[in-house]
Amino acid sequence: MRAPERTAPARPPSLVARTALYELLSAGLAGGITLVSAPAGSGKTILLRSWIETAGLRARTAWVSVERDEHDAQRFWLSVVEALRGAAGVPGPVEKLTPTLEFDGGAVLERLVSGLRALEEPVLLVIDDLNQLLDPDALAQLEELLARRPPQLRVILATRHDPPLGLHRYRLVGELTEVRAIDLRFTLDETRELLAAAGIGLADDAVASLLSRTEGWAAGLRLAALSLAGRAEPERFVAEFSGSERTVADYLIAEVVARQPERVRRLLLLTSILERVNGALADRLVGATGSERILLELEDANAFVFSLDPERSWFRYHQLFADLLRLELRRTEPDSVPGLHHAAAEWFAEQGFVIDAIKHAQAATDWRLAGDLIGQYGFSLSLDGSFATMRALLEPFPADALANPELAAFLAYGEVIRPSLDTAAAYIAVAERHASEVPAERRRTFDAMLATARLTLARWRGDYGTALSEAQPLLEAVEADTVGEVAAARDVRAVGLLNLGTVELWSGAGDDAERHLREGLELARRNGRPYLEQGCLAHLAVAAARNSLTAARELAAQALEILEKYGWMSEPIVPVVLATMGAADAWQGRFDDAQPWLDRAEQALRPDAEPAKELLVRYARGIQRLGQGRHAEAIAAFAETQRLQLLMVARDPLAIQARGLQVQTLVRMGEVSAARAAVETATDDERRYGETQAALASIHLAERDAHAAVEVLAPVLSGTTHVVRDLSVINALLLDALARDMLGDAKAAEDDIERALGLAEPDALILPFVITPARDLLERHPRHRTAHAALLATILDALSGSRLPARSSESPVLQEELTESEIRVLGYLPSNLSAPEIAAEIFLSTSTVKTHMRHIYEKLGAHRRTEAVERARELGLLGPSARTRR
Amino acid sequence: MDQQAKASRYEIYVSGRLSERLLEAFPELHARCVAGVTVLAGHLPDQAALHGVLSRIESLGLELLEVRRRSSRREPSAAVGRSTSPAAEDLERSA
Repeated sequence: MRAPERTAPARPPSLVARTALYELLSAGLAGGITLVSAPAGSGKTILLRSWIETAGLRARTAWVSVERDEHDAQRFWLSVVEALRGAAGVPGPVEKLTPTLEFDGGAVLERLVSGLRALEEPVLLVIDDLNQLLDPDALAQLEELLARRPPQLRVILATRHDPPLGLHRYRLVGELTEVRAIDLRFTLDETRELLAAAGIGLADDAVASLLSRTEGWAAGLRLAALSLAGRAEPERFVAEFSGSERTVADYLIAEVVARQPERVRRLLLLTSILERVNGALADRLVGATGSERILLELEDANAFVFSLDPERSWFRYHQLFADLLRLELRRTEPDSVPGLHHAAAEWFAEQGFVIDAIKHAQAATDWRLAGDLIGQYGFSLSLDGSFATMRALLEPFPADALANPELAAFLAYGEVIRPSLDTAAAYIAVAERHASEVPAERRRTFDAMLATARLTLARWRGDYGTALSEAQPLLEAVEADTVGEVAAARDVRAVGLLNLGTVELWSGAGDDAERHLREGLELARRNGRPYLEQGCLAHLAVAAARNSLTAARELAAQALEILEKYGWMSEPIVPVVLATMGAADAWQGRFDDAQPWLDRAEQALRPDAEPAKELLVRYARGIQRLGQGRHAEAIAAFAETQRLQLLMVARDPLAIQARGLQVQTLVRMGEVSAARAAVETATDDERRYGETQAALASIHLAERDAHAAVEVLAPVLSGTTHVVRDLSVINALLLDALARDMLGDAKAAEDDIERALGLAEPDALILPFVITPARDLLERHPRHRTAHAALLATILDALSGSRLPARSSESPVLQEELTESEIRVLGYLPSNLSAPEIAAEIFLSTSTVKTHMRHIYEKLGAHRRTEAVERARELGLLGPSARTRR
Repeated sequence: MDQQAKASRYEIYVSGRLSERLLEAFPELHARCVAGVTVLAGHLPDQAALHGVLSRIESLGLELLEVRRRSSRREPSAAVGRSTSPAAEDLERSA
C-alpha cells in the first residue's frame, strides 16, 4: 500500500462559487505573494482548491499541505520540491531532491531558485497549513525563497495566523495580496446559495439569523447546512441554535454527529485519533468491516471528510472536526484511547508506515514499541531524510524507555558520527546489557547494527585493531520476515559494510576493504541509496588504486557523478575522490590534466578533515609536481604527508610511499645529505617496505655505490620485500637497471627495463619512468627487441616534455570496422617491426601491408604508429587492454 | 529565571459557552461562564504553558477575547464555596 501523496484531490468540494474572492486571488497572482490568514474553519483550503479548479490552474499548481507539528526542514523541502517538479514538469529544470543525512538548506534553496528561474511557464506554489511548520530553519529558508523568488514562481500561503516571514516588507511595497478572516466571511447571498445548493429551504429571516449567529464563519455554515438537511422544521432548529450560547462549532458538530447512524458515529469517534485514515485501518479500530464505504459516503455528503489521493483510499477529517471528535472520545471513553493508539500503531507498522506507527505507539505510551520501531527502522528513515523527524520523535521518551537494545544500538551509531564518543559508548553498553531481549527474528540485524556502532566508535578513537575485530556480524546474510524488514536490514548492513570497508582501507587491509565495499555497494544499489552508493564507490576507488589506476579513476568518476548529481559536493569524501582522479592522471603521465582535479581537491578540503584524507590529497599533489619536474613543490607536498602521518594512530601506507619519493626527489636535486636525513627518520617497521629500500638505493647510486644499491634492491625485485604499491617495483627495477649499467652489465640493465615496461603496460603507467633518472638508459633501450615499443615511445615523449594527448572522455567508437587482414597487421604494430618485416611474418607483400597500415591509420584517426596503437588499445582491439570495462 | 516567580494565575476569556467536550481540552484550567463568555482560569507554570493554552484555543477555532494575569498569590475565586472540580462546576451550569 502506498502512502497518499500530497497533491490536490480530484473533487472540488465547494458548493458555492465565491466569485469575489476568486477575483481577488487571480488578481493577486501578478504580485507574486498571497497570504490567506484566518482561523480554523474559515474555508481557506476549500476556497483555494475551488479557485484553482475554476481558474484552470491545476496543472501548474504545486500543492503542499504541511504535516502536523512539522519539525523537519528536510521533509518540508522534500515535499515542496516534489510538488514543484510535478507542476513544472518532469524532466525539467527543477531537480529532484534526494534526502541526505545532513540537510544543507542553503544548497537546496540555491538549486531550487535556479531551477525555477529556468522555467518558461509560471508555476503556483500553495503552502497550506503553514502554521504547522515549526522548524525555525525551515521558516528562515522559506523567507529566503520568498525574497529570492523568480517571477515564474507565484506563492500562496494559507495559515491560521500570520507567519514570521517578514511579509510586512511586501505589504509595504504592494506586492502582497491578503485574504483575511473578514474577507472569507460568507455574505448573505453566498449563504443563500450554500443553503440552496444543499437543498435547504429557509425563510429569509432565518437565513439572516443563521448568518448572524455564525458570523459568516464558513465551517459554521457548512455544518449548519449538514444539520438542516432533511430536517422537518428547519426554522425551529435555527431558532434553537441562535438562542444557544454554546460555541458554534461545538454545537453544530455535535448535531451533525448525533444525526449519523450509530456505526458511523462510532467510526468517526474511534478514528478521530488518526491524522489520516483508510478503510482497512478504520476496520481494525472499529472491529468491523465496511468502513471504506462509510468514508466515501461521508465525503460525498460534504461532511468534512476529504480524500487525500485520486483513488480515494486515504482520507482525513477537517482538523476542527477531528479535534472535537477526539475531545468527545476523551470525555466519553477515556480508557479506550490508549488501546486505539496501540491498534493503530500495529496496523501502521505492519503496513510499513513507520513514522505513523511510532507516533501512535508514543500516544499509547507504549515506549517499548516506539523504541523498537525507531531502532529497527532508524537507519532507513535517516537515509530517507527523516532524521530530524526521528529526533523530534525521540524528545518525549522517558529516560528508562531508552533501555531498549535496538533503540540504543541505533542511537549509539548516531552519537558516534556526531561525534559524541562517550555517549555512544554508554548507549552501546545499554544495548549489550539488554541484548537478550531482542526477538530472535531481529537478532541478526540488531547484531549488525551493534557491530557497526562498535566498529565506528573504535575507528573514531583511532583503534583500528579493535574496529576490525568487530566485523563478524556484518558478514552474515540478511534475513527477515516482511519486505519492509528486509529492506531495513539491507540498509543496516550497507551502512555497516561501508564503515567496515572504510576502516579496512585506512588501516591497510585493502583486499578486505574491496570485498566488503563491493558488497555494500551492491546492497546500496538494491535499496536505491545513492548516498551509500557514492560512499562505497569513493572508497573502492582508493582501494583499487593499489592495483589499477585506470579502475580507480573509473570508480572515482562514478562516485563524483553521484556527488555532483545530488549536490553533495561538501561531503568530506569529495577531496579524496577528486585527488584519486588527479593521481590516476599523474601516474599515467597526464600531469597537466591532473591540475584541475588536484586544485579542486585542495579547495574542497575542510579545515577539520581527517588526516588520512588530507594525506591522500597532498600525496597526489606531490606526485603530480614530480611528474612536472617541480621538485621543490613535490618535496613540500611529501613533507606534508609526513606531518599528517604523525597525527594518525594507524600507519598510512601512502605516507611510506611518499617518504620514499621524497627521498628520491631530494637525491635528484643533489641534496644527498638531506635525503639521508629523511630516510633516517623512518621507523624500523617502515624500513621493511620496498619503497624505503628503493629510496636507500637511490642514495647509494648518488654515492656511486652500485653494489650496495643492487644488494638493497634484490629482495624488492624478488618479491621478498613487501611493497605498498606494485608500481613501486617499477621504480625499483629502474634503479637496479641504473646500478647494473654502472657496473657495466648492459644485458641485466636491459632486462630490468624490459621487465619494468612490462609491469607498466597494463595500466599505462608513465610516472615511474619520470621519477627515476633513467632517461639515458631508456633512450638506449633497443626498440627492435622490445615488446613495448609504443609505451616506450610515449615515455620518451613525456620525458622530452611534450604533452601526452588528453584522455578522451567518451568511449571511443570506431566509425568503420577493421577488416580481418587489417586486424592481423594491427597486431604487429606495437612491435616496431618495419613494414617489410611484418610482411615477411604474415606472408603478404610489403605494399599490401603498407596499404593495410594506411587504412588502419585512417579508420583509427591516427597519424603515427604509436597513436594508432594507443587508439587501438582504447578500443580494445589490442590487448592486454589498458582500461577495465564495467 | 526563577520558575516560581514566573508561575502565575491566569484568566483567559473566550467567546461562547464551552461544552464539557471542549473543556476536555483544558484539563489544567477551571471554567466559569458568564453571559456568553467563558473564563478559563488557573495556575500556569510559565509562558510556554500559557502559549500552549492559547494554541489550543486557536486550534479549536475559539474566539480569544482577553488574557489577564493575576498575581501569584492565590486570589479568592468566584468558585469559592462551591464544588471544586471544573467538570462538576460546569454540570451545574449546563442546562
